[in-house]
Amino acid sequence: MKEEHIIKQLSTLKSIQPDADFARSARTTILYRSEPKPVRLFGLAQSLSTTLSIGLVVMFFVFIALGGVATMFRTPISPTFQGVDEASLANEAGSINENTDARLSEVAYLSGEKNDRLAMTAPDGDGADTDEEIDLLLTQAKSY
Amino acid sequence: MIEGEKNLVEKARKGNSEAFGVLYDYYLPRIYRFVLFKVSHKQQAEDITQHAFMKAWENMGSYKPQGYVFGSWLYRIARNTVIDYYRQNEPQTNIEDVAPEDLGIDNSLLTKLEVKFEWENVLGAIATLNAVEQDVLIMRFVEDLPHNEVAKAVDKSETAVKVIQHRAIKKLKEALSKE
Repeated sequence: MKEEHIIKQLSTLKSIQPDADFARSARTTILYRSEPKPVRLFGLAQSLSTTLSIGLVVMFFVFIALGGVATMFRTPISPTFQGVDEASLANEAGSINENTDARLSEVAYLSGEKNDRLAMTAPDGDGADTDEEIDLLLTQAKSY
Repeated sequence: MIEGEKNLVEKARKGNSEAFGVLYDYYLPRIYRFVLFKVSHKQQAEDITQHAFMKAWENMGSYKPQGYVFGSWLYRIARNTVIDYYRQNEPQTNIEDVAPEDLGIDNSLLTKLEVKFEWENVLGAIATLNAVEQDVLIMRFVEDLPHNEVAKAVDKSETAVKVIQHRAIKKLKEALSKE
């Protein structure tokens, strides 16, 4: 079957018509038992939804902008959380420093004392003289 | 397109039932045929067609004439109504099993046995196409709608409609040559 013939066949289907009784009764039902929905409500809902969408987008950008400004003004030592008290943090850090200094001086003192003791107990450089003295004393003892 | 359609549509949008009645009279056979080829059942086609027109009338206020021909809008509503119908109900009959008389086709045209046989074949072949191919073929060749109006009704580009049309004709040709 040729393409033209198919198209011709299809166009003959145009002769199909709805039943006249159906057409009449449906017309009555559609036009007199239903009515168009109010446009205003639809329009209002549409405009409200548009406004809401725009508002949300604006808020989003404001939020981003505020975040950017806050980051720009934040110094490296700024607290991460706004609820933290800066003065008490500084005091705490100072007391930790003092404590550490005291510990360091104690360690230095103790290590100095240990060195002194070691120096006292360590053999001195006159060891050779003592040996000679002992040898001399032994020689003297033999001669007696 | 019916003469003075823009004016009628504008009146119908404002709730004028007389104006919508004129549009209904003009578009009813077109929408009915379109639905009938889709559902292959006279009673169902009548119910769906009535439902589609009711939806159109109830939503006339939301119809925006800019860039949309009223006919395309109606076809679109009819198309969606058929889809909704199939979501809720299983298809009951196949168009291949239905004789043209059962579809309400004018008996005077079926007097010649040859014509009847050809119609049955064509209807059966249309049933083998997928939904969008059926839509395009019916709108283009049964209802003589231009490509741009078909494109609006099926929510595709004009190029896509041309491709679908070409493919549908090819499939129809193959289906008819088998019979």
